[in-house]
Amino acid sequence: MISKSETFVSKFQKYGIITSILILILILYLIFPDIVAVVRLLLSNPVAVLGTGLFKLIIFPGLIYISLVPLIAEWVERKIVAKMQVRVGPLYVGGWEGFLQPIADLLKLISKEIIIPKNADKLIFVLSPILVFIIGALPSVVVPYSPNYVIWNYEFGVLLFFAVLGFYPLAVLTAAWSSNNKYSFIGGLRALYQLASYEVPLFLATLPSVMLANSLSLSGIAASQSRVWFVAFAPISAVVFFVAMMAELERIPFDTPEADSELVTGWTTEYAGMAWGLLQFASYVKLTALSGVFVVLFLGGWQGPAFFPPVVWSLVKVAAVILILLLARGYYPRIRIDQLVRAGWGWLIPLCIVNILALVAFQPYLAAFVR
Amino acid sequence: MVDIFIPIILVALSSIAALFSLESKSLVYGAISLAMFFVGLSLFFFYLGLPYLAIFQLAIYVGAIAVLIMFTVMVVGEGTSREGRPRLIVLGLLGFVVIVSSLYFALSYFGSVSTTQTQPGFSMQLLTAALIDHYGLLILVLGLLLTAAAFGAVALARREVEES
Repeated sequence: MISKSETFVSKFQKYGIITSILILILILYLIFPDIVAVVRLLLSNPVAVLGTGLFKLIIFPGLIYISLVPLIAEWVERKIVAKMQVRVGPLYVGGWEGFLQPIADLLKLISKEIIIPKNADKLIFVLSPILVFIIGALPSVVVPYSPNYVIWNYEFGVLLFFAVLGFYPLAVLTAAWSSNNKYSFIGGLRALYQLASYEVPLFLATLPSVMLANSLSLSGIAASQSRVWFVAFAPISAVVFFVAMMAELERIPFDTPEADSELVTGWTTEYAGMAWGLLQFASYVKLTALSGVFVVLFLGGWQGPAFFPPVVWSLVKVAAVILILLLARGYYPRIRIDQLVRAGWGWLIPLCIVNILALVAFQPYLAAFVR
Repeated sequence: MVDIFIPIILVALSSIAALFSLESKSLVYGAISLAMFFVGLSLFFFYLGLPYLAIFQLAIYVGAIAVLIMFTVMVVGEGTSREGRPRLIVLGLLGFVVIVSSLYFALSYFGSVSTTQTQPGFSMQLLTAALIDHYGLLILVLGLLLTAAAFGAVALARREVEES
């Protein structure tokens, strides 16, 4: 059912771009009144720009980095899963192994029409993908990639990260409800159950790292792993965090909300064009943020032998975690809903508590290894 | 001057969201604006230099309570849409004007809220120790009371099978 009100879409697309550019410029000016000075610095001494806040916000741990990782990750995922299933995957675009396929897909999605269903709640339907993307991208703000490369080195970074991540079900639910489609709605409810119940083990699994480092700042936690990575003291929590992370991302063994053999594509069913692209993008951006936080909490953040700079160690570890997350798609079938619930409440939460209790018992002996 | 306007804008936005959550005809819109009201409130706490309070406001009220309310509304269904109550909206807008203008005068009279001196000697460990040492029994009693209330709510909300 295609909407009659095409004018609404075209108006939204036309004025939406202009207003969003204006708002972006306004926000940039409000955050960085010295933007003129930064531009002048760029012209005179380009290397010095690497440390400025504007560079961090827009280029490295910020916007361009979190936009590039999804493109690379999507190509790697398609290629690897194809090899595992004895296919070839993307092959032609860009010459070598079709490595420009994600960019071709992006251009296709941008040029497609965004179809709004006739009975959808138009305002919420249009705003939901934007909200999902913002909530997926916002936690990246506090994830450190080196002592210097962190956008906001916040004192309560761990709390803020998971508090913002807690909004995600809200945006998913509005997207599902406003589509006015039974598959979307069932997918949205499943996503809500899954996200809300797996947040509990995810939160509990961060506790050992916070207890060991005695700090709520992600930079502080990474800095206190210079001797031993916390995965050595909290192996159970690391595994639990990884599994809960997969469930939070709705990735393959836990993709009941998207179950493409039952629910078309779950809560994203009615979205087309770049609105759907934005939702996919948001899930990969969230994947980057969660992998970054997993590296900081358990794999020592930027710590590593000194022959590489800290940023390289961070990126290598994050890439490895993302790769393992992507590989799971080729290995596992989707688990049933009752298995999902039993795994979350019956196994992951008790295991977390076991790890926390063990850590409380042995904490006096571990103090020598921290920092 | 900016220091005066930031809280006023925050309070104005959250009051409008609160008013809308009470008066909107659609329950789903009401639930969404309730979530926006909670976000505005937590931004206000951030402005006042209370990051713990702000983050827990975000995590619990937006992340859990607003989501649960939304979930309930969607599962139960819209039902009959509520009637608009124009007189109450006028009253609410009047109250909103009174609150914002009194805040404006208070701030311009006493000066802006200082955000520099945050958390004088505050530590979570001290707070926890104080709670457990002095009010441990009270916390237990409160917890039991809340559990009893939850059981009571379940008992009250239980539908008789014979009726349906």
